[in-house]
Amino acid sequence: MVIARAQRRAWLLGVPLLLLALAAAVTLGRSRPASAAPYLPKADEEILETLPSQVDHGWLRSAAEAAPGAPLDVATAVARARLELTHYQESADPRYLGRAEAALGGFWDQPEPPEPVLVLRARIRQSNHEFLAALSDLDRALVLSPGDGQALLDRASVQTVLGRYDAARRDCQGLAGLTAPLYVAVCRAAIGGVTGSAKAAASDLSRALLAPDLEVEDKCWAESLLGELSTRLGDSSAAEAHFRSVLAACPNDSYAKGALADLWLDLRRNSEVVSLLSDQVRQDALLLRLAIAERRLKSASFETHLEDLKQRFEEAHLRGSSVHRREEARFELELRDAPQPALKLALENFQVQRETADVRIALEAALAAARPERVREVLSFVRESRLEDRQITGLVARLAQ
Amino acid sequence: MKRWLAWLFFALALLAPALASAHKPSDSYLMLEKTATGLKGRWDIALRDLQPAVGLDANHDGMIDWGELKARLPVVTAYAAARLHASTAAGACRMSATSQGVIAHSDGKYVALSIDLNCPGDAGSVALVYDLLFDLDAQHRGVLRYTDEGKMQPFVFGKTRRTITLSHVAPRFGAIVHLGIEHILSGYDHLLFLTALLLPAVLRRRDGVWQPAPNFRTVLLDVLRTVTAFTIAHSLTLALSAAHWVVLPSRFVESAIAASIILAALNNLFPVLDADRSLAFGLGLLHGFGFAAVLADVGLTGPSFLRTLFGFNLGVELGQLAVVIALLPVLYLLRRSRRYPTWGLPLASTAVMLVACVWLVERAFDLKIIS
Repeated sequence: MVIARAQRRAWLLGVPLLLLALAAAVTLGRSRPASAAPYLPKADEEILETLPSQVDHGWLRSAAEAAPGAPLDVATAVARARLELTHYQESADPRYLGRAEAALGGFWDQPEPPEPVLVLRARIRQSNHEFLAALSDLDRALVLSPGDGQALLDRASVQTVLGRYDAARRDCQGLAGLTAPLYVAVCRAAIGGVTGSAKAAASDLSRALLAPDLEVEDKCWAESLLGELSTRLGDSSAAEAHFRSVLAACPNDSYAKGALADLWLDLRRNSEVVSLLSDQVRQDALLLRLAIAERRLKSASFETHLEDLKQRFEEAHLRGSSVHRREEARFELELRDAPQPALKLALENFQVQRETADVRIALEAALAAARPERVREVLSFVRESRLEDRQITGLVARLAQ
Repeated sequence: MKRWLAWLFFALALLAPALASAHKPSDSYLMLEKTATGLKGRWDIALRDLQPAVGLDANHDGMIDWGELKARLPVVTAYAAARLHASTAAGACRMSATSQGVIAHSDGKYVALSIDLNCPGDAGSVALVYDLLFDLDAQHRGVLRYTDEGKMQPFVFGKTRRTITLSHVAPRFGAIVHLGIEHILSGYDHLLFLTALLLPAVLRRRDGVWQPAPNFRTVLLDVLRTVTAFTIAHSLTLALSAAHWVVLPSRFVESAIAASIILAALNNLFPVLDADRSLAFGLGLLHGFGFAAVLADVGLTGPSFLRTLFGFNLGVELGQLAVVIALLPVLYLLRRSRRYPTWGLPLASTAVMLVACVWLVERAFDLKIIS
């Protein structure tokens, strides 16, 4: 009796506690996690921003002050856009793409702008992953000016990214005599590497690289492709030697850094990846590879880099951008152990671009998600194009099991 | 020329897919909230984007320091303000922009501007026209997060989408009820007043002496009467005030609410008014004006007036009910204790009174004593 009564009292006391907890939940449930707040710097000397070296373009200032709709001649517009594209190439900073587009002014929106504008517009669209729009610009440019080796080379490249190798090969054949022999060789080798003749492509390209008086950037670019071909063929030490030699000549070559990091990640040489990329946090694609290595090493900086990447993908989503789907799929798969979202992103990405990395992430995600039936289209693409790659071959075999 | 172009082509074609995500494209972040008279919020614009537009690096050393930015803030603010316009059917909204300092985003520092858009007529539907930086960076985007009635909607301004119409959506009924619950539970003054009223509810006053109430039923009925009186009173003034029929200055209302708590607590110590009901009703009238201030912030206009009023009141009553249910069993258990009438009640009432005194001084003289 006494015990029963005490229990009843305890129960009565439990009611207010429960209600208090509920009240707290209602009140707290509304407050969102605190985000960064604006602040007033303490000292005038506090550095807020370090501007990239390509600062203060004269044209930007005059454009900022120009009356809207002021007339612009083609030569000026094209020169400004080329300048911005050079900056883009040097820095991989997408702001320069937006500036290049702005530099073209009213010409950008013309259905049939002058030929040089078409070529530049195609290049900007291509960099924004609008490959089909870029292709139609280049088709038009080549109608207006069939001998434009640049437009032809660009079109071969877009076709390659889209996986339309026959069309790409035709454009490469047409290039002979219109541009430097090394470019023709690279054009062919890039296609050969993904259509079953990587070995021949590599030896052709090596021969082309022996030509005298090549510019250092050209050599870096061609040798990166050689490294990539060696990777495909499974010759890791040759690949590593090529990438290292590229980085010795062109220390800022982000593409070679990314390719070498991928090679090392496959070989589980994680600490070498960290020392290669530890200062490359500004570039998402490299930060992603750094974070993958750090995660495997259980490194302290992994959490920070994971958060950074998450924030950058969120920012991209906010602006409605889908340029990062390949990286985001890899981020989901390798850093968040989320094969389902990774597969979805990878398949969306595959509809837009079909390079080896795009194929690989789709197959890896399907394997991790145990959904081989979702990548039937990818597998038939691999088969039909005779895509050669040590990693891809392994993945295809595992998916078939 | 051809050579570098050729190199560039393949650099872009083969390398760009891997590198396009490097760095970050140009975005500005607009966070706007619907108010009764328009929109207000914050606008973050990257220093890197402002540099070519207005020139921030005065000494051309490739770095922007706070001194350089501070000197250019009026220009920055004017530049931005001239590129964001809002209007309603009745005409253009008045825009005021002031700097709040700087804020970090993933790609560097941004200037943070406070934005206040004051719109004529019915501010229900506002057209926003955004025209920042498209002339310098065609891929610039204005990322807008618009909050209306606690609900966030994302929008993106771009070169080809410079106008966005923000239509005021009537808040969901649940959201209004929630607001009422939240207000009563986080408004300590109302809770304290209610506590002061409830403290003696488990006792009866007989011949000038407190006696335990005979049973739970009488306590419950008594509390019900008190709470109902409070509810009717504050609903009445809430409605009057929300409809703008009776408008009292908020400092007066807030001070009077603090005074009402003191009176209620005093009545426990020196019972003058026998019935809690008249006290609850009389002072409850004041609390209704306090609730109305919250609803005014939400923007209570248009056809949804009654629905909002009802929903908010319902939320307040639900929250109040929760407090009563929480408090009552404790008090009921304490009622038989001999120390409750002699010590518990006076001590608790004194504590309540002291807190209310501090509030009264704070509110009446606009001071800050306790936070």
